[in-house]
Amino acid sequence: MNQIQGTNAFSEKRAKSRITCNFAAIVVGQDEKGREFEENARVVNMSASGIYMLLNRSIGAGEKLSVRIALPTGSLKLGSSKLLTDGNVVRVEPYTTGVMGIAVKFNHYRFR
Amino acid sequence: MVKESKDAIRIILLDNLTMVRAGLRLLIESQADMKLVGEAGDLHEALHIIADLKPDIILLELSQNGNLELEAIPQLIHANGKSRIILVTSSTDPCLYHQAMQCGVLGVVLKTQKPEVLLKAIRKVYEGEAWVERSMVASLLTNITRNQPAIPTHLETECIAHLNQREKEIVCLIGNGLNTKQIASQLFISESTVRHYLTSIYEKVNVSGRLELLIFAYRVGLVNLAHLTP
Repeated sequence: MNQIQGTNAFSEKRAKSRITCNFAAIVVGQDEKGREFEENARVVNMSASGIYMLLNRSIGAGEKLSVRIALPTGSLKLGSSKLLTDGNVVRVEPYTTGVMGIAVKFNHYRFR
Repeated sequence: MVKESKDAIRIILLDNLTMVRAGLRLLIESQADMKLVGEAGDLHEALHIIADLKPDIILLELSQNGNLELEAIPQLIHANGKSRIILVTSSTDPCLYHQAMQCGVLGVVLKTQKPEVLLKAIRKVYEGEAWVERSMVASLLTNITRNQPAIPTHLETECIAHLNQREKEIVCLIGNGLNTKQIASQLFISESTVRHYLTSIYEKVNVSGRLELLIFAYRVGLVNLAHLTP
């Protein structure tokens, strides 16, 4: 067991501002063995240049992915909006629970 | 019979399962430095006893049946700002841990742990420390360092000040994920007018595209993520 001390002393040094979020997403790509997959993921932070998401499978760094992110529409009953992105995996972080943290840099995106 | 000390840690249990509460009650009552002052199985009851009893520690098990969900944590804290919440959970989802701590939980203890671990966590959190599983520290710190809460910078605040009311409305709608056609329909204006507004907004807030504007809208609070669900 450990105790941790929360701190807000980390400064933002990224080129693009980012937000903490909890958006549902569908990831389409290939796993480390080259097999195609489509799987649900959870985007936990996002900037205009990329996302960090939690996924239940491992993907190799450098792999290409398509991520369809469901944007929240709040109280506006106009149907769900989606952000369709293509990008490359730039970082993979395994968690002890088996979940993988995947950072993706966008190559391009569009709204639908 | 265990003798209680005068300065016993005052604890309440929040769990919609009666038998689980009974087990935790026995554990707490066996400790000389702890006192169980109340328990509740749903949010309404929980808010009432927290405000009334002002416990030092709240042991919380999340459940949908009793409305004791993640979203309830800020309400629990609001009921008595001095109470410290420890989440007792069977979940090993790092996302849940992170969200719970973002909401104000100060300790997370897995149900699979020995009872002594929970007792130690209660004492540490009572003393002003935080408590999480060793295995979760790395992922939590990663989340903390990479997911800083959005605080508008001075520059961003200035940018907002330059937007007129209509432009703010459009930024808000972009933040809600609407496309040009939907915004036009929502505001009863043409798509071309929306595009004109967007050009002006991009220049005023110094962004280069719609996604960057969406991020801006969240960062500066023109759209509140807490009230949105995907």
